[in-house]
Amino acid sequence: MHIPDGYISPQTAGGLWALMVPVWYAAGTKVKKVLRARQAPLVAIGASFAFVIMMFNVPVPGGTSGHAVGGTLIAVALGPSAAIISLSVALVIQALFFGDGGILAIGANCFNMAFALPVTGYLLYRLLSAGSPPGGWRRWAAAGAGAYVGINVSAFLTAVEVGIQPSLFHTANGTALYSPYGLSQTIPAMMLVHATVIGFIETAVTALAVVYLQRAHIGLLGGAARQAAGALEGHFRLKPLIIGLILVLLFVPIGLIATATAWGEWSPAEIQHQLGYVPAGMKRFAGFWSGLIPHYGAGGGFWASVPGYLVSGAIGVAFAGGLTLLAIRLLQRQQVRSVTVPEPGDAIPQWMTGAGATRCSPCLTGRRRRQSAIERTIEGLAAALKTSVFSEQIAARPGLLQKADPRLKTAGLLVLLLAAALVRQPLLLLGLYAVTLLGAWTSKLSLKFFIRRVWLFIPIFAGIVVLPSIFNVVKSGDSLVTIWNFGHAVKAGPWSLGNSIAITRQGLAGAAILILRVAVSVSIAVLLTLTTRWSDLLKSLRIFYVPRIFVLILTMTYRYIFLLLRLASDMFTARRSRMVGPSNPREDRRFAAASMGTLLGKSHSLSDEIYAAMVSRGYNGEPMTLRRFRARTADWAVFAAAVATALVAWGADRALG
Amino acid sequence: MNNTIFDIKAVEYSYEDAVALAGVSFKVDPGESVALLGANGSGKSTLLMMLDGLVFPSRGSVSAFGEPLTEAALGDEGFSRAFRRRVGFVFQNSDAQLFSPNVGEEIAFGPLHLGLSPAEIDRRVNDTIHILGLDHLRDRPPFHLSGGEKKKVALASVLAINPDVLLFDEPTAGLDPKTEAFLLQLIKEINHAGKTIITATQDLRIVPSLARRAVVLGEDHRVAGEGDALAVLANQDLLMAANLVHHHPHMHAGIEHFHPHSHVDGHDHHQS
Repeated sequence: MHIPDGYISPQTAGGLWALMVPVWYAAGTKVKKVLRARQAPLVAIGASFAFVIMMFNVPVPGGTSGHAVGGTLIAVALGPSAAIISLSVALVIQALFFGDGGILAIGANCFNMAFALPVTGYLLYRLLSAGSPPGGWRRWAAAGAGAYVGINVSAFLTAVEVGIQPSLFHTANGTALYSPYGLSQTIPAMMLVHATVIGFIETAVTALAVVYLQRAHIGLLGGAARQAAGALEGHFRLKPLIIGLILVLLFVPIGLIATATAWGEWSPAEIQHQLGYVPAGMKRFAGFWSGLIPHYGAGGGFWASVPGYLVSGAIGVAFAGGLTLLAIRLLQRQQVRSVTVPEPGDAIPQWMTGAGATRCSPCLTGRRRRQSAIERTIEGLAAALKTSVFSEQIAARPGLLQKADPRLKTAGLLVLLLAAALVRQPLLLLGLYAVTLLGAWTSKLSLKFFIRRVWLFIPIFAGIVVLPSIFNVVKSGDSLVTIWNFGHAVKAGPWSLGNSIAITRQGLAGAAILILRVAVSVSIAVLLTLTTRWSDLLKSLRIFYVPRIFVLILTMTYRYIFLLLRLASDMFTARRSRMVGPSNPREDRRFAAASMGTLLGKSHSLSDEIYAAMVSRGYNGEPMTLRRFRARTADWAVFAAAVATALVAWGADRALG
Repeated sequence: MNNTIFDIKAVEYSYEDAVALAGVSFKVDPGESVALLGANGSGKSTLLMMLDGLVFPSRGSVSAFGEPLTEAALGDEGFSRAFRRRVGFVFQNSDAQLFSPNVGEEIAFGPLHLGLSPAEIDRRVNDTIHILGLDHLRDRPPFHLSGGEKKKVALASVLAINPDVLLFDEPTAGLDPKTEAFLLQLIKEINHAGKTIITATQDLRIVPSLARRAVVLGEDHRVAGEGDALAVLANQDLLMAANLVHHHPHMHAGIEHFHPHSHVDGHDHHQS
């Protein structure tokens, strides 16, 4: 769900930044008021936790796996304001250091995943669990339901933000400047996946983790946690909550209607036309859809799709709910057994002595196991650890950008990033790309490594995503190369394919712009993070008036991510060492949820310890920093070069029209 | 006005689910080295936290340097700053204590937040880094340190504050023998330099080199006994009652037998 740079226009990204600033301010004030000095460690650990659980692979029925966001879980445990800040911090670190989501798109990603998600999830949780004791079944059921709605609202907002791009930002001949897919494509694509697979993961994991917390850390679900972390919702009134919830529930269909009318640029004919096709990637689901809802899309209509989403949502809820229920039943059947510590004199049971069952012949069966979700998680965790060590090594090399003052370098590269987002000519984007290569070369980065690092990841993915849009069946335009001429209008089921399949001029140009823009944005981000020590990078945020307390939380989060990564890695490795034969998805799922619960409990007590250690050395809620940066002429020259390049690119773009 | 550093009177403290301290009293004088001995869960760590003004007794009182140590008193900026400059705490969990992005900043955190001048901060950071042999680790993030290095950095971060009193919670837990010896020697030197040292531990081996006086916390969360460290270590009944020693089977010349075992001194095998 992370939107990379290049998919949305700087106007959209900027607007969402502007929306998030007051949200952060309000959440920050609230957290500060309630938690006072304690806020920094608690929020930082919450953020590290959010980061780490986004790396847990959870198996999904059907053989694949995905990851949860855990936003509702964090909101349930820490309260919504702390959750907003924690998740935002986690997303900022993902964008800055791990290339998950763009830097300009941080505002958008935070709006979707750090604001809309935990707040809706939490509201629903409070509403459904009102009056139930911390240990009651309604708690986990409510948390699960909240998680489901939360992640779907978040996915829907993402789809809308990306989907409005082509109608708002295109050239005179219809070439899309950012993401080429319209709402009619992004919404079904996002909702289909989230209403079923990802919604299921989020629900199952949240509900199971709450069950775990009820057993092991019940303090986090009320009582103690509300005193230490919460009390945020001391005066909780039911009425505004219900109104809010109804608004949320109405949001999906109303959102569809509103987006169609609010951007009233489309003529009815255009709407009809736009909605007459379906993205190629979604054809797979055609049978599924028409089987489920026979009349769906009979008129190719926009309105007809509304019940479609609602039905798919309902099916998803029922599916996820049923399976979660089953898993929880199974989990609850196992009673917590009291452990008796044996006295040294107790006899060792017979079965422990001797070689026992370890004999086998032959041990090698020649059968390979499929990699389980647990193994994928371990790999992911290990890769994150490796990335950080590696980045620090490069940041220590004596190159041009490594030596530059981190504040000026960050500012300069951000200006370049903005230019890359505004430029409309593919040639100018190529020029900017060349500039990033020059930057990499002067910073003693191997060009081969730099190019691979940038391209292997996001731009190739962007290419796959954008590929269908170059065909006229997906997006209309002037034919450039005709691949197949039917000679007559062809209908495939309810969808009309037109007279021929062709690659369009607009589609091709739009794809080129998107891929190049994404590549340039990623290159700039990689350049920044590879040549800067992360502690310097985070400290340099101060020049953008990021409050000190946020910088402190960011640095602490980044530091504790690794501790939690290692803890998680140990838990998963210990699990794997006891695993034989094919892994059982249900077991794995339960294990992932239990690990999250354990991790959350450990995180919470760790934050208490850190707070004590900080207070002991004089921290009283007002963080202080040493000023160690000193900008020299050479640093200003780097900055000036970046700004000049950006201005030239932007000016040339305007001149070329 | 007396000279006493800490005066603890009948303090009680409970967590949600467990009693930690049930009426503990003792005093600490300047320049002393005191070991707080007790089994797991006897309340040693809670007591140290209380001495550092991080938790406060539900009953009883703590005074530090002749002033009552209460939440209200520590709310006063002047008092809190003076107290934090005079008392340093080396936590058992170095990972909780090292929260800064690198070693240099970790050590600077205390002096910075206690209002020292930038020049003085620099001097103290450099000196503590030097005496602990951490020069090559200065820019290293805490994640990339070994357990022993973390403990040294944690100690450096407290020494840079130059407190009169140092509190240690299980300082040698999980350290290799060389680092342990180094740490014990350093603590001894700090004590000789006039600092008061209070160490909570259940590792009786290290007590003789750490403390002149020992206070034993029993399983009942009260003081089970106190006195000269060596005398306490020799008092097998006291240590047995506090679960600090145990019986275990032992082989000598082919004969298996049980006797109390404290891992401190040798013992006389002819008795058993």
